[in-house]
Amino acid sequence: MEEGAAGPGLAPVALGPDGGAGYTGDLFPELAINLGIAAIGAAPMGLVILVGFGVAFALAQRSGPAAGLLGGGLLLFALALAAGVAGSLLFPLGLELGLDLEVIQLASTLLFGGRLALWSLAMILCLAASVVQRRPEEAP
Amino acid sequence: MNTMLLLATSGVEILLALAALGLAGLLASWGLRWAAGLLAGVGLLQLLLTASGVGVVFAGQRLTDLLGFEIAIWVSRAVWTGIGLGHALQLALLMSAALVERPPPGEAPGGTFLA
Repeated sequence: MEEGAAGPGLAPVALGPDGGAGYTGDLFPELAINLGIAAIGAAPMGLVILVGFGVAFALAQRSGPAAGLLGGGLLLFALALAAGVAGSLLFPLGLELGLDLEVIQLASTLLFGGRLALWSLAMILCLAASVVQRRPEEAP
Repeated sequence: MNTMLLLATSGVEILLALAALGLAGLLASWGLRWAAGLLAGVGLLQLLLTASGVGVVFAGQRLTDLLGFEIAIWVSRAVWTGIGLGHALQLALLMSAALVERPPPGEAPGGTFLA
């Protein structure tokens, strides 16, 4: 068992789906488990994102900026989701391909940081979409 | 490194949750109570999800000692899957908040959903 990648300490659990927790050296079971878990987490989110594009379209009738913000936020959420799924495959595939553990961990950290940035920006855009152009008009 | 990453993630998530709660207050002051309630749900859910993530990380070693490595890993996976589902619910709440319309004058306050 690789130190750090599969150890029971903080590293794999801390990074959750990105950490490749529990990698035993058998590629296909690990890949299938990680991909399955990532899919269970990502499928509902993907569905909500798809519905969200319909919502953004409906919202465009009332407020163009709100629809644009929501659409942009949903795109970023989709990118963040893709980064998360890619991260869940990083450890098993990287170790199987013989990449250095430090390189894999660096890639995982970068992917995790990128996902966090995308996620945060997406959240900010969607929060803005729920507020923009909602202020009641002042009485004349 | 992982602890730093976790702290950074948690900090950003807590800031986002506070932003959602603040915006909920703003919407409530504008008379959009339904939207405010939904945004407050987003903020509170964010706090819950952040706490779950941090909890499972810091309890990781103890869980492993108590349950053994294999079970602890599956518990961790279950929690992270739950967090993923929670994020989907959060996005649904967020979109619903964007859809709430101001009620026409004379109708009950709170708001109606976009027809």
